[in-house]
Amino acid sequence: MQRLVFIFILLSALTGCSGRQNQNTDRIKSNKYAQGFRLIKNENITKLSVFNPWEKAENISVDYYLHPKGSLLPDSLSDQKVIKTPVKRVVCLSTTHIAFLNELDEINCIVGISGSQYVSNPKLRKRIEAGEVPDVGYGQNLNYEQIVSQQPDLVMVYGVGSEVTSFTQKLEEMSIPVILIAEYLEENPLGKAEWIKFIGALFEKEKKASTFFSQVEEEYLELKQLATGETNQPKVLVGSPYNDTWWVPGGNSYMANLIADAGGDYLGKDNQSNESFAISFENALVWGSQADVWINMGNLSSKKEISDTDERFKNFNVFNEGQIFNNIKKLNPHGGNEFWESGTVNPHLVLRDLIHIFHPNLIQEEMIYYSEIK
Amino acid sequence: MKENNFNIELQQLSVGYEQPGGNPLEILKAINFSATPGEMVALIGSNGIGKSTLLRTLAGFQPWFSGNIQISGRNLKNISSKEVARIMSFVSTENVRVPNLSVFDLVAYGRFPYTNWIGMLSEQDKSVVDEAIKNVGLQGFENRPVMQISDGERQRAMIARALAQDTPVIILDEPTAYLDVSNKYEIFHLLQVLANEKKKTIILSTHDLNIALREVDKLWIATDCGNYQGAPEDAVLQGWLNQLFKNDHVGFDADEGEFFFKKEFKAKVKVEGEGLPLTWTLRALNRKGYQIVMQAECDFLVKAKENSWELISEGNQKTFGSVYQLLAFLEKTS
Amino acid sequence: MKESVPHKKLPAPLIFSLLGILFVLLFVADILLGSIIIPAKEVFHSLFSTSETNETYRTIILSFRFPKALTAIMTGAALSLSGLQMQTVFRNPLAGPYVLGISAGASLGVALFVLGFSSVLAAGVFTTTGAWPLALVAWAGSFLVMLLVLFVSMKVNDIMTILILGILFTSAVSAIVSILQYFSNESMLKAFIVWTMGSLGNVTKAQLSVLAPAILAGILLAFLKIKDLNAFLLGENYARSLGVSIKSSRIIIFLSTSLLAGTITAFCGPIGFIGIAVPHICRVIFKTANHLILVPAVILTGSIVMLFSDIVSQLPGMQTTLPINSVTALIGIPVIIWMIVKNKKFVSVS
Repeated sequence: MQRLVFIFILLSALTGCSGRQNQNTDRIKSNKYAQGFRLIKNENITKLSVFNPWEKAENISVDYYLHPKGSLLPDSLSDQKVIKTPVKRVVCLSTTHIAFLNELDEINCIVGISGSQYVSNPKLRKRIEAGEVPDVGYGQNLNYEQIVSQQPDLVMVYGVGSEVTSFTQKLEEMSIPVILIAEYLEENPLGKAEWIKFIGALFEKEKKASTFFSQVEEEYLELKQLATGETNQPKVLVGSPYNDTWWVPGGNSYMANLIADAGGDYLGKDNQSNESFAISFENALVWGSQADVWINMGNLSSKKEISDTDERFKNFNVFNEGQIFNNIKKLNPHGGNEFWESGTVNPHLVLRDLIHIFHPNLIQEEMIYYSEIK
Repeated sequence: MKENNFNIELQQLSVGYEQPGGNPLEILKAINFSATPGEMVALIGSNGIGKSTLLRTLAGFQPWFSGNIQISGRNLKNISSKEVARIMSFVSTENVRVPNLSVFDLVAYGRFPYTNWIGMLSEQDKSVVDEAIKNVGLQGFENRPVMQISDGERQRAMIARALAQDTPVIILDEPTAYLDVSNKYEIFHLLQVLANEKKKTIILSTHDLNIALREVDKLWIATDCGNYQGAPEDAVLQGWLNQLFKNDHVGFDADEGEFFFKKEFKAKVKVEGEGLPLTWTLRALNRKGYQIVMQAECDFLVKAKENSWELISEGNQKTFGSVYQLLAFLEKTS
Repeated sequence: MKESVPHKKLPAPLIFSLLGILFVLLFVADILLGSIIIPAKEVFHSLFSTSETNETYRTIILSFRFPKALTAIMTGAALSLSGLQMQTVFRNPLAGPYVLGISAGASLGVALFVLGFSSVLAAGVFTTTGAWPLALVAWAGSFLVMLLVLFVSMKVNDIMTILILGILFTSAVSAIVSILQYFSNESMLKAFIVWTMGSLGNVTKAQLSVLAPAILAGILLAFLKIKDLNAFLLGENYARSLGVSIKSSRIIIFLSTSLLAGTITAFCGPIGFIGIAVPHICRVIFKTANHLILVPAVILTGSIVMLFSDIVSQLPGMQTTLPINSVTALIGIPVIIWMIVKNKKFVSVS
């Protein structure tokens, strides 16, 4: 008996070592663009690592081990966070997660959601209306009873700040596996979409995820090459004020990157951060007079609505002589916007829309997410 | 009966209030007062002179600036508040309003220094409280809520509380302020008994000078021109009482033992009569500013009889059925 | 104090018994009722039998409803007791557990944390102590306020000054928190605001094991000060003349309040209104000013009110739940209004 144990330990150690060697190559392989996660395969155990999963986090990493259902859990994993795959019942705390699941054909796995009124996906909406998918609340007000009664294999959580740990721990105490998804922190549009590989692993659909992503990547890069070839880059103003403060995307943010890839000149690009920052109305006015194109002004859908919000917009050059587009084409009556759902997973489509806006001569297809504001 | 050997000595004491900016506001300076066991002391002085301040300082509620307060040779500063609670009890002018508090409960507060950590009253405690309530004349009031009794009753209850505290020294700030005349006398009498029979030291401030002059052992007088202490009779004979009033129209009549208003005399009147009618008619005429003369030369004559008054002036004679009518007539005609 | 029995007053033991029964009933109800409808039979099986029962139900009952009910009891007791102490010490019927600025301190800690300025803290904390960071920063915030208050109360004699300083401090902290909120983006804001709505259901069993001793310590300190609290009703001057050491009494009472209110705020967010209303309810029911009765009374009554609020906030049978703060306000305000109208004099403490 002792000999067996010794051999077992020896074998584990050896496989562990080789595992580590493979780790390096796997690490390089797992993702090209996404910074927030790593996927490492080791025999039949996949290790998912999430890095800095909330805003302003530093040096934080969380490891999850995926282990197939039905087989015995090895001792090495006894005190790790383990998720049994394939996940069949999942609770999503963000509507963006839905888009990923949609591409993986796993909409039917969703058994609970936070913010059900914002859901755009038609298949899911039908299930919600049929009562199959309860709304489980948010944050400190999470409805634990609903979650438990749905018997999920996994709860997909996103953390705004470190306070998320207070409810992840509660869920873990109730023996419900939790995983932090931080795709929203990726600034690279392809990096965001690449999280489909992360999520795909949970459903044992890595291949499907990979294939899907390669497709997206290819089309994206093609479009990018097309657009950045153009010399004439229109100046782009983004956003609209909330009360007196005008929040605009940082120079290194998702939106800024998209604009750059679409051959646009984002007026806020000099800002180095990837977070939104506030500018004064005067600053906005200056940009407004320089801009050729204005995009993403909240839920405003006509020029009249814009000037109703604030008379002074009429002083913006771009209001009078430029072009205005807003990403509300797929805004549903409850306030959910497909731009943030399927748009996240299909950055090439968003890119195409933007190129259509900045360089209409290059694109024939109709815009999917953006409408012109008249 | 507790042995009371607590001498109170105030030596060169200066009391007042802290002010922002460092310099304290000295209200009373260089006080040298003392009290011995079994003495009843009345602190008198005009309004605002600082009587309350002095008593509160003595009770340990506020610090003093210079000088000493000694209790049997020990500096008050060095005595812990727990110990002070068994030596001195204090009745202030603060109005205590606590809902759901019965008179018994209020008086029972006096036993605070003696009860256990949750404040349970022993049988002995309860009987002390009962007796204190009886002594201030509030029997039957034990279960009445404190918020529903009159100010005078509440004041007596607060005094009872101090009695229940059973301390050798009791300090009271205007204890008779809200009381009617008979109650004023009752309280003074009670305090006297405590001083004489139980040898307690009683220090009170009061504006009821006439009672104080008759009933207390010692006066502490605080005036702008200096502080005096001594027996009430000393105060009279030394003329200290006159310094209480800055007003020229008020003076102290050493003969009568009373304060009076100095008046401009309107006319001279001679009065005939005897006994009470004479005495009180004299007072009435005096009050109205008529100078009482003995000689024949007067402006008019009044004859005071059992139930009638005769006024003889310039040959005319009129009879009145009351002092009031007599005076009214005099006012009309002068 | 002697508890004499005037005509209109019910004897305290009787009232305590009735409240005790109510307490048990509500405790059971809080476990029986919730968002998911669980048959009573299943509830008892989950709690008492070790045999095979529905795992889902068992998880809900044991890992969610039971700790939540315990949290509700401690929250109600702690906040009511600290409210009572503050009302007595400051002789102000509007005083409550947060009058010293304790909840403001906790809010500041949480704001700094959630609105993102203390990520460095979170890094080490997340990996070593698990999910305590939120509670820790909230408690640290209230602890700092408590130190400030203790320091001030040793230097300052007048109790009114301390009250005013506490109120001003609360306002100052609110202003700082507003600034932090102003510069935060929407999701951070929402996360912070949801924290301010209070929550009883997030406390893990491990956290309960820290919460409980802290609350018990606070309650113990309060019991030790019953006599002094009674004396404070007459005002600090009389209390001093009866032998109470004002400064040390205040320190222990403030310490008790900080432990009670600060710990609850740390784990459950700021829960309002209970601390102010329950002492008044008890004064009216028991018709007494004696803290020997009021201290246990507010503990019991506070638990009852909180259990009831929790049941209501769960909106039994419905998917959504209400934040606990709104429920305590909606329940408490009509109660207070009814009491004021019925008995105009009750609101004054002194």
